[in-house]
Amino acid sequence: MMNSQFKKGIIEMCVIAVVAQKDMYGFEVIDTMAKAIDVNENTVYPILRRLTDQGYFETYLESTSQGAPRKYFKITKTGIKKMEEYRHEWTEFLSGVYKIMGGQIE
Amino acid sequence: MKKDYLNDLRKILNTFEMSKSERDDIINDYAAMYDDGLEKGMEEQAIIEMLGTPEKAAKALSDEYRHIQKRHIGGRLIALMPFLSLITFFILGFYFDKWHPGWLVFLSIPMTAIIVEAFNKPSKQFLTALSPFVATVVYLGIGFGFKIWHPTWLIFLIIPILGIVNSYRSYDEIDDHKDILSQLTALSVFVAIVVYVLLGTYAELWNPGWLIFLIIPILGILSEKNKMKKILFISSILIAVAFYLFVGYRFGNWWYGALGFLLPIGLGILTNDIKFSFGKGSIWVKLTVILAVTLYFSTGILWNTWGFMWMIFLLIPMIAILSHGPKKHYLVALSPFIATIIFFSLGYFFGLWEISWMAFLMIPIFGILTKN
Repeated sequence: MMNSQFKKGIIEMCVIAVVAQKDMYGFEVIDTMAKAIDVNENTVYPILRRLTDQGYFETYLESTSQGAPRKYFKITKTGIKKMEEYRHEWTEFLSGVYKIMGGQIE
Repeated sequence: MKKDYLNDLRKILNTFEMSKSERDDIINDYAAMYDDGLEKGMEEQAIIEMLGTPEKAAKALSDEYRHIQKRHIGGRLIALMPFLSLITFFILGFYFDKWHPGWLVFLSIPMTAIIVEAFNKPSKQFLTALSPFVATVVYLGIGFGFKIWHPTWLIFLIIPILGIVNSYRSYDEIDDHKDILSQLTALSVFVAIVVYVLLGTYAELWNPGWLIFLIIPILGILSEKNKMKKILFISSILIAVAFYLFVGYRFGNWWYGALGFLLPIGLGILTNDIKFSFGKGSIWVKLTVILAVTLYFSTGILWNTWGFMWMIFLLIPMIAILSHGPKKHYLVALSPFIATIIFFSLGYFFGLWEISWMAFLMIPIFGILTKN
């Protein structure tokens, strides 16, 4: 089984990548993540919150047609920098893994 | 359900060090995500699974935020209680010569801890957490007040009963028909004990009062899907009961009456629901079951030992623990059973209900001793 700390790191990277594509509200992030990878959904929101706390995301409210306004998460400049850092580390890591295990990065 | 979910989440978050605005913000976020799920047409159970139970959600949050630490509300009060109790104990002893029952003030130490913990629990577990306290107060109150120690001890059964009722209501369970039946079956064990002891104590009906335990297999059979089988089993048990009572009362021979139970047992063997297998599991447990049942009924019918021989059934889980459980935890796992035997024996044989309940103190003591 994959080390939970390692998996958490990957999920964090994916959360940043998902929000970098477009601004999203909490449920949307969880839903997008769950559709793509086997993720323990209840860990996504705490990660979103921490990343906001660390300045990688900022939030804003947008009114909806029904009910209360929605809180959207938007990636910040620091967030984009972090994502590029992650992407670089990830590619390097994967190419190393492929060298050992065989295969290649698409 | 949403309101309960958010209330429980707030209650748990209240035990964490964080500002009110941060807490409100988290609650609002969860409320919004819950609404989004509802809007998408998801079942509430599915939404809760997605967001995590309040306990899991709070745990995940505290894992993420290193600065959010669990706060012990009332921790100071718990820490103060031993000193307050000691002072009260000495005042009662030296000034009023009430060493007994003055020592009872020491009970306030675990009780304070229980009450404080109960307030920190989600509302559905509140009653369960508080039940040991309520049971002890009622038991000691009625015991000292009216000298009715037995059968007041039955009040302690509210602890497992509330535990079962609340586990069914917990968010992890999906409430369907089968769950209600299995919950009723689990509850029936305790209801049967209460009825059995009351019938025995006040009406001297230990026999045939034990028949009340048949409610357990009857409820168990109700969850059987095959209707024919259901009807057959229940009617066979009822016929056996009628036969047992008829032969017992009419001819005074309970042994012959008990032969009626061969009907449901035979039916069980025929339909393959009762199997005598010695392949899997410990042979000692199976031997204990046979020994316990034989001894219980034979001594009961021969010498009218129904009132205390039921304790022999406690040997079954004890032997199971000894043959399956991890060696390290033998003593802790066995302690509730040993405590029950000591407690009931001292009370039943020597009338020492007043002090015999202290046997239960061995459970936490063993727990603490073996912790490290």
